[in-house]
Amino acid sequence: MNLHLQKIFEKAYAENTDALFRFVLYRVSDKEQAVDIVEDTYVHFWQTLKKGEVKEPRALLYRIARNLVIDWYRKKKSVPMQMFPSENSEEGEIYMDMFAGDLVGVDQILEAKMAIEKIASLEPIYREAVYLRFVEELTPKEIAEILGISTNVISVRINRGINLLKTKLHIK
Amino acid sequence: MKIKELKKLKEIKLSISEKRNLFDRISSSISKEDLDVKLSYPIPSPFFRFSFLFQNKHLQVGILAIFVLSITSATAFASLNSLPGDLLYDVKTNIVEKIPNLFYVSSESKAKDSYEKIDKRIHEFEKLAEIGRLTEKNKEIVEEKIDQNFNDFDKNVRKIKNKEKKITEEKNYLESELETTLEKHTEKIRKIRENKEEDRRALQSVLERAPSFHEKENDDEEKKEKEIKKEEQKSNEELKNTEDEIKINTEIKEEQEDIEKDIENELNLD
Repeated sequence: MNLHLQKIFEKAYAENTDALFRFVLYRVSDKEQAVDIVEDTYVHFWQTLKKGEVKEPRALLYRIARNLVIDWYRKKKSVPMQMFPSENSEEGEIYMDMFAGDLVGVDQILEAKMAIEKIASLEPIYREAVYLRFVEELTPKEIAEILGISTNVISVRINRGINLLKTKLHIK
Repeated sequence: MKIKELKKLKEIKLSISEKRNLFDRISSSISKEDLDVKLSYPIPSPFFRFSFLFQNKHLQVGILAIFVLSITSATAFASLNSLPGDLLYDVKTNIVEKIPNLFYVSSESKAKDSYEKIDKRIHEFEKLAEIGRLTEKNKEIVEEKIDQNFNDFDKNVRKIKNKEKKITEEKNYLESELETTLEKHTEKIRKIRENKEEDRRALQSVLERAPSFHEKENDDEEKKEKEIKKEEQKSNEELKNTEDEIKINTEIKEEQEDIEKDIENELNLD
């Protein structure tokens, strides 16, 4: 039994760690903190796996990570509940510097920074939906499972969010 | 910047060593609770980078179709030169050679196909003998196939003969019908001509027997002449119509003969 669960766990780790790390990092803006939350996410995931059959491991992982980020914000009451660093924030600058070593070139750093800024400028209800759809390329159904909302609502949010983003980016 | 470029954010990821360290930390945390669990760091499969191909259902169907098609095409092509006793010989005779049958409709084309297959089997027989592989088993296989093709050939030839018989019967029926029609019309024409002669004779005898009335009844005679002329005109018209009918019937007969000739020519050609 454990062997079967181990295989599911190892597969989930191989396929989702980078995406989970990004998902958490955009919310906490701290690499060490993001890694800690990802670690906790996998420990929780293992415990859930032991309890019973998991149909969508990826959705479950995102859901656990999202809840852990919310818990982290609650504990750190002084920090506002903001998913992305703002354009002029000091945190944002630190965050981008932190990744300078991991990105291939300066262009990519700038592109990534610009993308984060544009998504961050969206209203909170659209941010997560647009991010998960267009950055992590999850399906509306998967996003609905992660956020605990119906697929229709997610589709509407993605559509409206992307239209707002296009307006901000001056794309027709 | 385009919407698609948002994907560039994916460039942000943990390094391999960071990922490995993270996994060790997770593994040790889990092992504290579950002593018997020993997780091993997953090495991504080289096929994982192509896993996106299997995420979309349409792509899955497409890939499967291409895969099946390429396998079957390659097998079919490889089977073309196989001989009795080869692994692919059954594929050649039972599948590849039977595919054209789906498009053959007439008995003539089917018979031709059977003939070509018999020819192929004889070639195979010769080739087996040439390369020294004409074992009893292979001989049996070829003979069985030849018998099968001969049966198919006979069956189709019988069908062709039946078809020919039907055409001949039809031809004879049409000829007899045409003859009857012509006889009927000839009789009619003969009667019309006879009636015309009788009328003339009757008129002549009346005139000869009653000369005294000739002058007195001059006006009547004129009237009668007019009536006779009218009748003559009518008879001529009828005659003309009948001649036209005969002409049409003759044309039909000629056309019928042409069709029969064409059918005979076609049958001879086949």
